[in-house]
Amino acid sequence: MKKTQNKSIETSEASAMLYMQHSKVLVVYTEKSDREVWASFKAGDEAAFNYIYRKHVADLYNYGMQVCQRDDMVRDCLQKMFIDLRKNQSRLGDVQRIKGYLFTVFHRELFKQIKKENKHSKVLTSFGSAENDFLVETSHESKLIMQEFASETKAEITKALNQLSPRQRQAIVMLYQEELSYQEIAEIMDFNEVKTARTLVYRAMEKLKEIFEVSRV
Amino acid sequence: MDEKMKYADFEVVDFLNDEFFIQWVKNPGEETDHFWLKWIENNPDRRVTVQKAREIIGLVQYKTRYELSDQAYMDLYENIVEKSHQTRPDGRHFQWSGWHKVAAILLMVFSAVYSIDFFGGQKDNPVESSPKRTLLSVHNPAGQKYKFKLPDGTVVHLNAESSIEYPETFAADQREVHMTGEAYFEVTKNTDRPFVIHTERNQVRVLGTSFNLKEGENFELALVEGKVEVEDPDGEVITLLPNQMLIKDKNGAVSMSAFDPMVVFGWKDQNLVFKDNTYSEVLAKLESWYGVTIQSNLTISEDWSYSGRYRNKPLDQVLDGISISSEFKYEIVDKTVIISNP
Repeated sequence: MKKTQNKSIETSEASAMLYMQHSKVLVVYTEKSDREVWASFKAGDEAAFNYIYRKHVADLYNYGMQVCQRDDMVRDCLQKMFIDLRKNQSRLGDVQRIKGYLFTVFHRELFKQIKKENKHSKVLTSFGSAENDFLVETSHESKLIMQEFASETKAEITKALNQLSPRQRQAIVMLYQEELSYQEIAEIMDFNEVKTARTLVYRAMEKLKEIFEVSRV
Repeated sequence: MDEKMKYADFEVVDFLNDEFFIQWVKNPGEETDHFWLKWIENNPDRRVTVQKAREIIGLVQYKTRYELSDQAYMDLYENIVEKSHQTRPDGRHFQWSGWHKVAAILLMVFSAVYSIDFFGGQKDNPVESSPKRTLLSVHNPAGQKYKFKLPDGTVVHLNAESSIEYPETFAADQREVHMTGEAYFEVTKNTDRPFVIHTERNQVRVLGTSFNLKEGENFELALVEGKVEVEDPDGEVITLLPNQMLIKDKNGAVSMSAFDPMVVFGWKDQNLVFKDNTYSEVLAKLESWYGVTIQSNLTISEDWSYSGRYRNKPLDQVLDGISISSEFKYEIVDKTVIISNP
């Protein structure tokens, strides 16, 4: 009994020390560029991985759920992706923007899993093309101060957005909500050219033009 | 320079497709702020277009945002670390020791804090007292009025030839704005955070009220409801009660009186109101309201004065109205009006 007690005290002291070290490390990472954080991760720095996981896992999970609304599959894919990254750590290339990179890898992983599952099952899991994928909503409490649009117009915009193709919605959400670049969106959506992503958004917005070009009364 | 040229004929759709613009809307930084605020200032006629694009970008959100539970966050993390380090080089099985768990929990805590630092500082967290507050400004040229909401919900009707500057997020202790010209405020009540308006020569302090404020030649404040304190640079404070109007002239002479709401702030509901105005006052009002320049060689008698009210009327109808009582002829060419003897 006594031994166990001692051990737990040691552990808690170790935890406290790690707490201190870790908090310092984290502060350091927040100031580093993605490229530097990624380089540390490649060099086997556990804290760098921790930082990457913490910063991106929630967005990745949400993204996966937008694509297929299957919690188990999304979590499995996330797990597999991160394990693969860690196992191949030292062989990975340089990464400028970690978020875009993870989205691309994760998307591929999901795609692979869904294809595999569809082969074996009669119930097809949709992939980024079902009506309810990437549905959007216009926020009621706009953080922007000026309000050019009346709430009826906002409702119209939402409706119009949700009538776009799921692919178009996906590109729009990734551009405005996830703050990814066209380059990254093209990679994630597997387009050969960046231009395709740009055009996808442009065409979508063209469709909405009639609604938002109406002048304010 | 090229960049600025490029945006000259952008429509809403084009802004919505432009990464540099989107970056500014989502994550304004010093550089983007500098560029875009300057650009809007130089292209006042494009402000509404820019605003529309900003608003649409800000509006788009996931209909459902799926959250990873804390438990799932932890389990996933444990599994990843465990399964990617199954055996160590020395052959021993990797020990999933307590500190990893501690670290993972800590990381969640930190992520909450950091997300405020990273993103919330400017957007989400109103009590964040970052010294680098993003300032937004609205400037109305002649001929343009504007109604909008401040971050705290306060409604501002900004008259023509007026401007207001305010932070994207108000400070924790008070809500401060700077303005010139004329505006009607409906201030959201918040007794813990006074609303302070700085004009060039005065400071107005309120908790939650409605009033019209104008600083031109004179400083004029007409209070509709609530209570307002006006302080001048010498620290002199005057308190106003509802239905009182305070007028201070340039020299500091102060008068208090009752007021006619239609005359003082009928403008905010599109009423162009003249009340015993002299000829030059009438011309100045028309110029400001319609954004025109008026040239007049009309001979007018010394006791000329005009009263009248026009709601949402075009300039020619107003001029017709005035000319009926005063007899003159006018010509409108683009943004110039020429008034002459009949």
